[in-house]
Amino acid sequence: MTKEIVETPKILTLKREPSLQEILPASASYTRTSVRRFFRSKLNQTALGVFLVIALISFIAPLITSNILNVSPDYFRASFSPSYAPPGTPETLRNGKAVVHWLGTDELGRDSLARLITAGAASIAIGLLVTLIIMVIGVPLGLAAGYFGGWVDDACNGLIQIINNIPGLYLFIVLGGIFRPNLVFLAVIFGLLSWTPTARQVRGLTLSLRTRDYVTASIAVGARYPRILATHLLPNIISILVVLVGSDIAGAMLGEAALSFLGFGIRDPDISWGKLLASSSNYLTYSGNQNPFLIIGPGVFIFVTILSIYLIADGLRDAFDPTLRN
Amino acid sequence: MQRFIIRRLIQSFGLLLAISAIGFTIIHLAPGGPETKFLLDPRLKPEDIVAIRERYGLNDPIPVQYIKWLWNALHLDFGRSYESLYPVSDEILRALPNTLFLVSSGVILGMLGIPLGVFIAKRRGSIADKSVRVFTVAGSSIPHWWLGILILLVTSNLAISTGIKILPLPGYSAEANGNTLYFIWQLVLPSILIALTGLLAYSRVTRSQVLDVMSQDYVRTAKSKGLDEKTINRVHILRNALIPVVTVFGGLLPSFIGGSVIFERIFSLPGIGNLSIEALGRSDYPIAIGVLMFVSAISIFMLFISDILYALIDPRIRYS
Repeated sequence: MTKEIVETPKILTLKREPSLQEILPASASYTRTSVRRFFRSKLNQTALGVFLVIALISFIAPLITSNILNVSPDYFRASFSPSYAPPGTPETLRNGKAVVHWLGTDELGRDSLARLITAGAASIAIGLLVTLIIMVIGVPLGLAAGYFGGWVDDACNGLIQIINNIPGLYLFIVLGGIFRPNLVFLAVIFGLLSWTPTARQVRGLTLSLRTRDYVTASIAVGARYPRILATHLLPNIISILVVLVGSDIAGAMLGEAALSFLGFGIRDPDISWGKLLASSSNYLTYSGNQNPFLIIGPGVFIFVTILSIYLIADGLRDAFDPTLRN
Repeated sequence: MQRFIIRRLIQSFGLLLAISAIGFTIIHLAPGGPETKFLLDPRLKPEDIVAIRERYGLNDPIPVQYIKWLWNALHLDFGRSYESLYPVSDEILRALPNTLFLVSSGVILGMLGIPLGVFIAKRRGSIADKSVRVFTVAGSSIPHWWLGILILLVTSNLAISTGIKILPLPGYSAEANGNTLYFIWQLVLPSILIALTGLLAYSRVTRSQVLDVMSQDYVRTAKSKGLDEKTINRVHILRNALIPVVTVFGGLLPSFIGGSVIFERIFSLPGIGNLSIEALGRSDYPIAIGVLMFVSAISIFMLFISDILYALIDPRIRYS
């Protein structure tokens, strides 16, 4: 109650309209203070650090496997390699080098750790690619549907309805069973089937922002729609978009893992974390299997990566949300 | 309302038609067919392959095949499996109850998320609220099927090494066939895992909806005119907060059906997901397109129902 009484006079006071020069430096420091706010939280720092480390390791995996681990992820010596070796098993390679399989070996005697860090690149790349496609399709369509309304809105809603009704996984199984999808093909189909929630959210936000006074004022002074969309609407939905990007990356990574596990995603000889789980769970109850890391490893990597993405997105949303300031 | 229902019905049929056309074309562009299972037989001559394909009408152009298939499908005849030669509808109806049982028990268990969401919204900021939120974030970052594999790994290793059977081992065993209790017991773990998705989604949506409604003017009015807490909760808050929850159900169903595929795979349950994966592996295309159509029809129908429910529950929504 007291809060409202204090705030009422503020609205009634007429202030001089600030000039553009006064606004610009303030908005420049807005980003800077937001970034600073993001880094103030220990949780955000940790999440960002963990994600960057995992991404870095995944994308320079060939360097690590050839220089530090000294073993290629595809290396196996037919029947001589110890299959399902427990963690820490030493082996002398064909070229005379002595290596240690820190996380043991898989069913063919390939090094688990080398395969784990190599597999990350495909998983993360699919997550990022799919999200890029979702944003490229979903954001403009959502903005257009919300801003223009009328037949544009109807057309967008119809399209969203159609795509929502398609049982995506079954379509994927049919497509993946018939074509042998590579990473980009997989990401494109995935993106085409999963942009609808993002478009819906953006449409809803635009719908409520369109009637705000600053948009009306902007139209009144003769601004055209590209300018209004770019300078008034887009900046206001950024904080929500950040969260959507996070959940889209996570969703794509989980979806890829599930598809690859079923055998309709990433194909041999390429590997992703889901693919590793697929081959290792074939011999789940085989008593000679002494390496639980084959199952635990990829799952933990998926879990930690996605968790850090969620936390980063949440932290960014809080840092950039103007209503949460002060 | 009537016009809305009719328009939605026509839309749904159009959509099914479109999915069938696209699916049919894609599947029939693929290599393989009814002759696949004989290919390793040395007695098979090239003219036999032509004869087999002729027998199945596969030498016609694809549009002609599609029209024929569509006409038969309208009479609920989806052709015969290339592999077992049983009618596709028989194969699907044999597998469907398992999937439906799994999905519906998952949906029902997932609805526990609604009271959970109300509970934590009422105690916003408390330890219960915070721990549920941590659980939600962690739960959405884990592939639930991986949890299933982990549990299987632990329980089966335990069973092998000590002989203690906590959970039934995956797959159908011959002596357990027809034993309803054992069948349900087998579905317990997959149902709980499949329900996790719904539990997380329901509790999140319910929490934010209840919080949203609690800050509305009419709730404050109700409080200030002295209504007791119970009435406000029931009449003012819950009724309004649960409207969007209904639509969550419609949107979740396809993901439940999709999710059941992977659990059927892990727990070796003979549902339609397993059926379609095995069919594709053997180039048994009539089964694959049949399952695709069944699943599409079910999910389109459920979305249709949830749209109508939404309009019925919320008097502010008027379709004209």
